[in-house]
Amino acid sequence: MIARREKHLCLDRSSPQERAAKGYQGGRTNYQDVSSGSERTHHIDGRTIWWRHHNDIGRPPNRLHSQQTQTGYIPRSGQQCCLYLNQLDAPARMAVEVAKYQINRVFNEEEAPINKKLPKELLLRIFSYLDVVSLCRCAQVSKMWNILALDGSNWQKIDLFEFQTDVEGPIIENISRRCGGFLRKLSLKGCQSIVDGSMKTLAQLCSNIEDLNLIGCNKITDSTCNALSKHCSKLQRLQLDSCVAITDHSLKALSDGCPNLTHINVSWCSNITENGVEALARGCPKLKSFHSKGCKQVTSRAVICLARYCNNLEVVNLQQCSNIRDEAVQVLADKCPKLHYLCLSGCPALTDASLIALAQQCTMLSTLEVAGCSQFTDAGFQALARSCRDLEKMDLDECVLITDSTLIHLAMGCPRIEYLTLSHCELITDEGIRHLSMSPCAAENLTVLELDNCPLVTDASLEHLTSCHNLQRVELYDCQLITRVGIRRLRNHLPNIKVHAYFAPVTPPPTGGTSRQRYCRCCVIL
Amino acid sequence: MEYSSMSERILRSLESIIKNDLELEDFTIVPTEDNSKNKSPVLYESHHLGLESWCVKYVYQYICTELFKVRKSLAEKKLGYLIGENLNYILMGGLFINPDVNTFWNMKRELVESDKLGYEEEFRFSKLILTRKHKSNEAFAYRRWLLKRILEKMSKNGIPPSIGNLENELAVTSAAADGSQNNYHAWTHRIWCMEHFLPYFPDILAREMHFSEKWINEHVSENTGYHYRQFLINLFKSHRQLVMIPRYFHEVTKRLNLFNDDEPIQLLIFLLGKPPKNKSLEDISKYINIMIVLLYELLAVIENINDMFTEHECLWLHRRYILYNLVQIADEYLGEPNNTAKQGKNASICFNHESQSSYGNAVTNIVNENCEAKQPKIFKSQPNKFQSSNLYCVLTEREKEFITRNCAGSATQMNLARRYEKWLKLIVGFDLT
Repeated sequence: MIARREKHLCLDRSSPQERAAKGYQGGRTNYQDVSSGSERTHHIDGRTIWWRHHNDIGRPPNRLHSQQTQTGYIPRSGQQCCLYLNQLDAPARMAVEVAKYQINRVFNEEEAPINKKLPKELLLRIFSYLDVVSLCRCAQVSKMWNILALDGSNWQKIDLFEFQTDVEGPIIENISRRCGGFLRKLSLKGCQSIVDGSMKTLAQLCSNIEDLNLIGCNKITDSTCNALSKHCSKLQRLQLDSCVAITDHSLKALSDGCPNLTHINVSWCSNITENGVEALARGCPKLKSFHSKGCKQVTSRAVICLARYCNNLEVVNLQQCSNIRDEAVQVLADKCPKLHYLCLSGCPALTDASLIALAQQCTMLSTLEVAGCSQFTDAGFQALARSCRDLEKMDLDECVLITDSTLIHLAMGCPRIEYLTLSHCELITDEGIRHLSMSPCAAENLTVLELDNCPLVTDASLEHLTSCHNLQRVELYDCQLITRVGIRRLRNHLPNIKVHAYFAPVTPPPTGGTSRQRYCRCCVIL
Repeated sequence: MEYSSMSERILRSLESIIKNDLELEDFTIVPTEDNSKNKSPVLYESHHLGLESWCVKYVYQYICTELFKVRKSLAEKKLGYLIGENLNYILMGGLFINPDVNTFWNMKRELVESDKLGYEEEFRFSKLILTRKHKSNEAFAYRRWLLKRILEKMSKNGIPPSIGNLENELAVTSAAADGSQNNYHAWTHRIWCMEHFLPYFPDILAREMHFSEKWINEHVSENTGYHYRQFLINLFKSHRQLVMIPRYFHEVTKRLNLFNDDEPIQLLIFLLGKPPKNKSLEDISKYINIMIVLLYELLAVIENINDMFTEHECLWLHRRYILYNLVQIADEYLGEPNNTAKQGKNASICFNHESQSSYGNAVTNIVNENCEAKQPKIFKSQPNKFQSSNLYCVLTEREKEFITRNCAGSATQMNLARRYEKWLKLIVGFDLT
């Protein structure tokens, strides 16, 4: 598929940049109508033939067609047909005639009815709603469709994730040549064979790109980001997840050339340090979303800089940036009141001070992931639950110090909780679950509850959970006080729930003394 | 799939244990009838890992569906983003449960080829597999494949391989050989390692001799141990530097009641006369090596074992091998037209079908019955230089004494001794009267 598309993408030699500059949008084009009058007359001829054909069936058809068509091979096949035709009876002969005529019609006409009925602008508009695969199929229909389907205006948003293993450098270069200034959004997620060269071409030719996803393109380096910074000043979203060769230079380049950047993801780029983040923060004050999962060198100072310069931050993911300390979260909370997603999982140095700062400033928080922050206690969560009433998703995996009191406060303060993870919170008991299940969130919103490795949870908790009508999944792995009976009871109340536990179905006891009848029925009767 | 979530969790916890515990000792599947408790089937106690058997059915089903989904794309090296990274834990589970599936091993190979797995962790993993199934040929083959890759890479860069690799292999094979009886897979692996690493570490040979002596002392009736020892002795034949083990030399002189004058060459001269002029110094040291090793085997090792454990046919067969080689070496040294070597092509040293001891072109053991009648005549008609040497006197004395000593024992032992005597007379052509 891709190979074929590549061929098509090569065909167009017009300059999309110019067209883009003229301001084509969507399906509106000023193409001159290619279809000439002769084609139309030809078509009309076809119709007349068809009509006439019906009237004089007895005539030898090959002669008729040899007069009407210029192509040589159709009459010849017609002659062959004729030999068989003479042996057939009249109705059969008629059917064959009709079929043959229709075949000829397709060969005769150079324009299908759809092209006649619809102007090019409308066709282009229709194409603009198609996906990549359909567009490529359409491009193989005819020359005209090829031009229309591969018009840059149809290729403003491209996602090549499905073809990740096939995408290679030349394809990207052809796409950039085709799309030029039209390209707004490109996802190359997982296209691991992409290298800097083709990305540079892309940056040069598609300078209007706004959203670029390079997740997992682990061969690209800083020079891609340099090119992007040089040519693509409109870039807003950039995903560099797992591009391990990326360093601080990239972030510096982006801060120079892409001031409109709002979303950036540099997760697992372990070379990123606080210096790069600081440069980025200075250059891109519009930043809304920042992801740096697993960047151990992103420190407190980096986060503080980010918070100082980018006050619009809404989404921050600092998972496993284990050097982050309380002061960073405090400044972040202070400067970025719009924060609604925060992930601090795997930052074990944080204490309740962070939670309290978040509670005071970030009242819009809806997602908080703090797995592995084992110093957090009930006091912190109490403050949080009192002020952040919009919390929807909380991951408290391995916050080992929390007790039922946290659950009680969450139950009272946060009516919107949908997703709650309490894995490895070993102090949680049935009492906490009881409060949770009586809260307003339980009845309405709670859909996922993870309680694995909570050794004190018993069947009584499951009894309480029967009141959570929306509950779809409960994790109960390793809760050794939970029994099969309890799970069955919960399932009876909530038939659609998925309960995950280490229970396999009981193997049926070997049926030894079977009650199989020794005689068949008729023998018994006898 | 109903249990996919559970299976994945089990596999993940196995993976995390294997990743975090570098000193993991063994893995096993613990038979359990049913699980009455909501408890993880992964058992982990002081570096021992286990999996309860009740979950195997579900986990393995999950593994197979997951793996065969990606089998084709992996083989074509067209795995999607993040899929290759997330395959190893499923493969590990699959091989833990069923180490005989070569497809899984091949998938591992493909992952290694695309640099998604490291050598160290793979060695550790296959070692764990061998703790559960000692005779897993697939695991040994996988290790050999890894070693080959390492050796190739090193020789390309001109770096000699590290002794750590070899020592690791030796430890793994000896553990596997101890684990189950007649584990030819382990011993052939050990032989393969010796063949590939010996050029880099010649000193290892003496250590291996010591190891195998100890091993056969502990496993008296295992042909595999003798087989390996015979392989080692054969290595001495091709070794041209003097790697003589002093302990062996002292032991041999003591047993022969000779003066210990610390000159190995004197022993050779005493036994077989002065070396011919055309032999180089290297050749002579080779003869000294092999002579001392063989004599040590005959006079010390076999005697010791025989004194303690009787009625083991393997030991007798081993003795045949030693004696046969002694005669062959002596003939070669004396420049005789090598009778025994000629015989070796078609006659057998061992009449027993069970004792398979053939590596390459070394000793062939085709049983050829009709040669029994023919060969002795050649010996009787042509008394050769060997029969006039001291070695011949010593050997015949020893053998006579050995046979009479063993004939006094139980019926089985006597039978074995008689058979041996017959072999000596008819095949080797010793005059034992």
